[in-house]
Amino acid sequence: RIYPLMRVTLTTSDGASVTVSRQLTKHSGFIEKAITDMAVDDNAVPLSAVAVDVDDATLKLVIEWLTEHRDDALPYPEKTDEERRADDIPAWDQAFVQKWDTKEDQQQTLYAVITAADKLDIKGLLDMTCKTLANKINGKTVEEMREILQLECDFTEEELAEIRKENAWCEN
Amino acid sequence: GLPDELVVEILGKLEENEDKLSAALTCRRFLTAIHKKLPLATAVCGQFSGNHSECRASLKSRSVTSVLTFCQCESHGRKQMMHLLLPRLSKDVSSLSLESELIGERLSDSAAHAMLDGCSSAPLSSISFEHVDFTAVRPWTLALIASFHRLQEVHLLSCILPRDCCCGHSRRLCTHCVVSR
Repeated sequence: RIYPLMRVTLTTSDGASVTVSRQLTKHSGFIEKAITDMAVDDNAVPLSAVAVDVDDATLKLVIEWLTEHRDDALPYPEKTDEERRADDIPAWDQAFVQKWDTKEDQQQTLYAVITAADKLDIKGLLDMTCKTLANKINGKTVEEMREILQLECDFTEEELAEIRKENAWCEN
Repeated sequence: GLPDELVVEILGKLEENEDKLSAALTCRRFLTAIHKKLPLATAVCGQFSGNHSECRASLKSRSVTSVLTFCQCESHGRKQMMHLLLPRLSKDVSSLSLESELIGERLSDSAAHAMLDGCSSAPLSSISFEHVDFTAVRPWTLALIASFHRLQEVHLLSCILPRDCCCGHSRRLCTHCVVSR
């Protein structure tokens, strides 16, 4: 059992430090492992701060999400491809992500949170943010997808010419 | 950009095969990430239409069959679809059909080659061409048809064959010219 009041300090990649409850960090596989590695048993106070490779601004968003989801069941239920419907994002999560839509770097914020959720091993947040990004490209054409995700078409003419060369012997 | 494993995670959330197909045609990285999640086609169907709004490039999958439909539209990444995707998805293809609604536009030699070569590892038993103008296709490209050892039937319906084709036909063939092996 984890005592809700037990707190842990996290240091971010840009040098800030944030103190949060173990009730939140238990959802992060990475932080929980770091604490277990440092302390004698699961309920002991960690000896030092846990360094996370996430910047302060992104960590704040992660903590905001964790605060809302602190009572979610653990472990996060594994789902098969059929069960993973992209449209079952809870209303709070949808509003949470929509707040970034007004930001200029909205896509970068979403990428940053996806990357943070992956690094910190927070399965619920990773699942939700990946679904959000997938929903943005659902039903779109190839060009629209490239525009939304800012992708360059890197299938080159040279490469296609290479394939045509395989047939060139019979042209000469 | 996101690391490759996260791209796989995100594209894995796409449910419709059409969306997966479009994602595969955006860039090389996405193609690599998602092509294994696309169902293998059992039938390949080319539909060349001059009207791009009616274009039907798709990959539809039912319990037993999945049909890959391609087109000549740039917006559907015609070249990528034929040169890169077809060889990866055609391992189970038993029927290949090409239907052209284009008047006066010939099937290019490279497109014909990509289509036949893309199915080279497929156990093709049936090939069907309808309203296709083959005059720009070289006989040796058409000769790739001979490499399909399980082929049982070739249907040519209202097609125009190359002038120096082995059979000597240069004009539009009769409406139902069926060549059976």
